[in-house]
Amino acid sequence: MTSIRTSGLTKDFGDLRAVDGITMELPQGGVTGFVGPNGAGKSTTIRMLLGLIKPTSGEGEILGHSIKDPSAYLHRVGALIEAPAFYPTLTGEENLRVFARLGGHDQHRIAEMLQTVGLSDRGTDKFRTYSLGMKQRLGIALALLPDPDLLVLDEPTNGLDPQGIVEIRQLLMELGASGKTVFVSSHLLAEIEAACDSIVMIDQGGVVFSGSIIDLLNRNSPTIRAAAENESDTTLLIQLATSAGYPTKRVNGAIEIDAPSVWAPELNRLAWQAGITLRELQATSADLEHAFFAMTGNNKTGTK
Amino acid sequence: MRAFRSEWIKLSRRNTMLGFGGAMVGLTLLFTLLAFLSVGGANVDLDGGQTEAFVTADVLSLSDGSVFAVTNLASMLGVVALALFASSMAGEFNKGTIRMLFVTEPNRLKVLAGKLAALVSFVVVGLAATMIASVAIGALLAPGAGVDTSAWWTTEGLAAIGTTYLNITGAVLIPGLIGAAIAVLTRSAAIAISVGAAYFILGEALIAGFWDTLGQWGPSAVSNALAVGGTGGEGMMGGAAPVIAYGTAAILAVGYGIVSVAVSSTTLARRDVTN
Repeated sequence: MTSIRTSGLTKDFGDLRAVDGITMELPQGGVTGFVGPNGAGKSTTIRMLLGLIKPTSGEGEILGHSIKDPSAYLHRVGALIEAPAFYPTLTGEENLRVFARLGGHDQHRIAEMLQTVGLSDRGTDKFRTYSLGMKQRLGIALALLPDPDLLVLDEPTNGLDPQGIVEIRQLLMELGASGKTVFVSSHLLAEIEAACDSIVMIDQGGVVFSGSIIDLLNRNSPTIRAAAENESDTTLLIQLATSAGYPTKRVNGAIEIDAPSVWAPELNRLAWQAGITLRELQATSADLEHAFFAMTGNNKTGTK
Repeated sequence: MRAFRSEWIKLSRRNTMLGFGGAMVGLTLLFTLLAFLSVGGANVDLDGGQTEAFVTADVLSLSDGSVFAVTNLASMLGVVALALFASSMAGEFNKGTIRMLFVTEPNRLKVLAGKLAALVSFVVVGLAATMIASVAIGALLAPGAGVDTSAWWTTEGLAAIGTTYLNITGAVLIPGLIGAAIAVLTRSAAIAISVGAAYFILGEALIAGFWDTLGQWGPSAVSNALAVGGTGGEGMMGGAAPVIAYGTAAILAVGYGIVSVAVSSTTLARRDVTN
């Protein structure tokens, strides 16, 4: 059984197509990452899944119910959408009580959830006194309040310190392992790689990859990065790699060679024989960041 | 019911109580105080002449003298209600909490109904407190102002208090519900309050200078007519008496309320939540 299934989900805002026929399927249980450049349509997709925005076309199902009828499934869904939004003059605890009452959730879970996210000692402080990280934690506590089968979190680690990021990552992994489905969007690709079993990658409103992270990484070859001590030797270095059958590209005075890491010693030897002294030689295994840029066609500086 | 109880957590915070509840009670007490202190005084006209002030000991000694201050302040209380409804509705958009409300309770009409019911109950309770405070302070000030309060406590006097309470509640809820509708449409507390308050305080009277009908049948005119009891009543603050009958004003008030709620609910139900 799937927890989220969409088919050709599309949203237009006037002439702007924000989401362009997204088709994806998430199994129940586990943690799935949702990544894409800014403006790729992540938040709009999440809002359509949560019944906040009506799709222009396409279909979707959450926990077996059509997204046209959010009442049928939202009581089993916990969500954090973009920046955590609460009432500034209420305390953290009172804020959770507002939503617990509205949703008919067990009021006793409020203290438990505050403890889960590490806010039990600040629950009686006003929300406006919270740091960004604390606001984020309160948002996660709210998402957990209904004891949901599906958790949809948009950038949950925004503003958290490293310790907080690790804690939330562990929490998400525990929730995923306990049979709940966690669908989490994040800009921190290393976080997604560390916490998620599978990934949905979108760009310019459409899905460019959907599947397990291992499959994605296997699709992307590792690279060797090398730089000559004398920059004038770079052209010769490129010739050495090209002669061996490996494609190369120049990156900021160095070259990146699409070659397995085991070829790095050979390159070092060839360079020495050609009279080139290397100031840098680094074998890079495939990671999500490289895969992301390869799939979306953006480099780091070019990311919107 | 869940939305109603949830909304009351927000309404019962000190800022709201002191801000809006305090404004209603404070304004009325201030006007009550001024009314009793000005008994026997005179208005100074622009040409230097003097006329008797419209607040006299005789007026305050009538059976409905106890509610004189509240009745004459109905339009101001309406503006306070408008600000309360508008800031409460638009605040959900400004803060972004609207998306969490609709994820927690996907039936948007239930959220709206609970929210409006809570706001209406806040105004109903606030007005009751306002009237009790106004009548009490009036009774305390009456001996010093030469006002005879014996008629206040007759059956007719007590009935006047009850009737005025119902009329003022209706009169105050019209701008409140209209303020909520403007807030849902504009999603901005600042715009909703400024546009709504400007209309009720001055706008309708200005437009009525060119279009009589609006001055007689518009929301502000209907609210004022309801507050003073229709054509039989005195004009608010010594102004012109209303030209529409009480029954007509009551029907129109219900009509304006229904239209406002319909605008709010249709807009909320159909519009994408992008805040």
